[in-house]
Amino acid sequence: MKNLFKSVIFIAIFIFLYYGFSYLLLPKENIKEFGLIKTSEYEILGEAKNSVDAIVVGDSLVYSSVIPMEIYGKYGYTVFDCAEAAFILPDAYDYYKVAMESQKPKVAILGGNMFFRNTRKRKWYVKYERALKKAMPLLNYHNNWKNVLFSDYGIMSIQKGYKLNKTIKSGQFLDYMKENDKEYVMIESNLEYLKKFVDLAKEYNTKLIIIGFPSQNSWNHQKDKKFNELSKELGFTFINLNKYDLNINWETDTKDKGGHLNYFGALKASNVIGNILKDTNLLVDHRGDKNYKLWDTAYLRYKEEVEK
Amino acid sequence: MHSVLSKYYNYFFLIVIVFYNLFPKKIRPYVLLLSSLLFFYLLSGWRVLFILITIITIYLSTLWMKKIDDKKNIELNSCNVDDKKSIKEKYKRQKRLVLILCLIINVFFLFIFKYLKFFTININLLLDLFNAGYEFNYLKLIAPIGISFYTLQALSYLFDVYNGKIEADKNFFRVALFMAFFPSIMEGPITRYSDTAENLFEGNKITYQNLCFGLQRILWGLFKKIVIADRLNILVKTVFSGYMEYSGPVIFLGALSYTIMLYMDFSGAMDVVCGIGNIFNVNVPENFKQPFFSKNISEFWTRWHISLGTWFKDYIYYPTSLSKPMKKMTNNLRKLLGNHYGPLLSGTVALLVVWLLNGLWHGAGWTYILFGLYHFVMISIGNITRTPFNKLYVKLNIQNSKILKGLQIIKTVFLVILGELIFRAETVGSAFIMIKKIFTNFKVSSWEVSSLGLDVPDLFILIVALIAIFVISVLREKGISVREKLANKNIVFRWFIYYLLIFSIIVFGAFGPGYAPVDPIYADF
Repeated sequence: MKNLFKSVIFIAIFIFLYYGFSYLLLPKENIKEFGLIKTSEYEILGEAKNSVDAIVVGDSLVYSSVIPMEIYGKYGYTVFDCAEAAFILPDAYDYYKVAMESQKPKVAILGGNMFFRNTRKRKWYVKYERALKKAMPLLNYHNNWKNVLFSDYGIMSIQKGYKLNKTIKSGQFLDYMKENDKEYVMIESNLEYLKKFVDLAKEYNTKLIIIGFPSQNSWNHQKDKKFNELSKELGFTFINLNKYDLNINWETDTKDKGGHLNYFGALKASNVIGNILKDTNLLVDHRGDKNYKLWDTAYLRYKEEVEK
Repeated sequence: MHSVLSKYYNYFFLIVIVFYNLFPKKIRPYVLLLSSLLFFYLLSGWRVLFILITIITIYLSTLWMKKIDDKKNIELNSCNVDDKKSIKEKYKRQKRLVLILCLIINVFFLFIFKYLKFFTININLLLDLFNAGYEFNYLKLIAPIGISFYTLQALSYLFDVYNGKIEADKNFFRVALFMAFFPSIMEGPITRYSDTAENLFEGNKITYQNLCFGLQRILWGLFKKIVIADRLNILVKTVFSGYMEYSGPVIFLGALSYTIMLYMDFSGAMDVVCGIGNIFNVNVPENFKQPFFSKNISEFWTRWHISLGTWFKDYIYYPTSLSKPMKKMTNNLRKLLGNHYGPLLSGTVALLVVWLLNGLWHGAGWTYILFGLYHFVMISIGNITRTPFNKLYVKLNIQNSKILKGLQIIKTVFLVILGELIFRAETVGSAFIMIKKIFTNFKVSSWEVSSLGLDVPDLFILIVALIAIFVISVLREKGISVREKLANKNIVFRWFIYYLLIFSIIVFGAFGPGYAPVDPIYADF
């Protein structure tokens, strides 16, 4: 009994210290408004209010393809990946709402692939990852000790939602976008969600762009055709990167034989995304702006991390 | 690649711990055995068959040997004194036959999975050299996890029974559990039957004290691995992959970092294994004993990967040096070179066999063979020069000098670092280039230091963590048990230390973007 009591006390102190450290190391721009758990669940809440120019909502194709810091380094636009593996639309929409509310971005980019996912249920590993993310914010932000102890700038997210992965697992070049006569039928409820995404963008006066991020497994001609039709019908811009020559080398630029880009492929895709954002003529270059000093510092930290 | 420190392993271990106490004492050993085989299956799939074959062949062979011994004893009891020698010889031959048969089966699997490709490639190179116009295809085989460890463990049991050191165990499950106990299956240590089998099969309950004691040890292992080894991995990878760009001092720094990384990773894994042993109340032998306080390479190998060193000593070195031809050679050399150098030279031959096999055990590659030969040369030089040097120290009256001891330790550490450089190098050629640069290229450019991948905070944490490790190693070297000392402190201090360790791992651990965990070097064996 004595031992049980001691164990309970030990665990209680551990939890207290754990969340104490989490509070110290989590970006806390919005903690007061949204709380510690919600801030750790939605990484974008770590950013100062209305400081993000463009949000990118989507699944693993987003966090594998878009490197916000590369875009910042080259164009000076502040971009944030609001992405989760196998993101199901209800969860993605929740994140989208949180991001819109806290940032009021000028541009919202959606990864088209999540509208093909034929499930309303979270996969087991997504449930596990989400629970872990919520319960263990410190694991995601523990490296912020460097900023606390060794920098005047304080706490910041460095990768801005991007998941750095330099693994190379070569794939072969496949003609996966080859034209055919097949038709893609979108699940009715997914179409409803797409309309909700479009409506919310209109509500916030945000330009909505849906992008097909490079993946040999996820995209094909009929899906591309479907989104082209929908873009005209619902009034959003659709750009399918799978149809353009991004100079992706499927032998070196993929981490899983063509399913997702690795860091080297993401560098190429991010350059194009930066160009797409530039073409909107809605964004300004924040580099050197004293209000965006944290982004300049994050960029330097990002460079250190990727060069390791 | 799987390691004792992988997530997969941790989940499995937690599940076993949670359910273990629910079973009655008599059933617990079987729970451990089933869990171990299931664990093996989860990691190696159908290759679990190979460990089962090893268990069965070892079990049957040792029982067969016991039967031969029993027969021999019956015959000896009823025979004339004159016949005793021939009877002993007859049964010894039979036992040897069983031993060889079992050896062939088990070494065959080890050879096929680990060395066939290496030998085929080299034979093809030879054929190509002689323009034979033919080459052998080699099979791409994935070895069962821990095959190098469990094969040596099995052979130690086989040899011990053969030599009459222990009796063959009739309990198949006890033999099986000794062979397959999951914590030590991937990275050792290579335990002896007489040390662990009984203890393992007792099925002791997990108690609160054991659990706490074990978890402390596990935490210490995780600290070494996650805070130090994984952090150094960045620097090591950078230097070893781009050694052509770097100067001698930076290459040396890379080799030093690799040596520390290897020690932290492997000894950290051993801490986890011992910690799990503590939890199940099983004595897992220590595999490291402050190796960097060794005064020479021989001593180093009695403190580093101890279970492997003693295995080679007991089952290769002594049998080779005490074999009939070697005894004959020793006698001849004794007459020729005297009582010191005569036996030393014949011992050196046995040493060569040991280090060639030791090198090969570490991996099928020329760098590993060179690694073995390097240690053979260093140990042999040490053996030859030890007596004259000791005489010199006595003459100079510095035999007890702390400065001398310090210098000897520095020399040993330097030689170990060069050895580990060979171990880590991609090819023998690159190892030679790197060593040459260490001794000839001293000009460090400023970009070299900034390109190593570690920032100032990383270096700060490394220095603090290494100082902590050093202080604890010094205390242990002085025979002070830090854990016992800690256990005697009040609860506030104890818990403060535990939380400090836990949060050091969580906050300062080298994981997340920019870090990559060390490939578990020994887990691939």
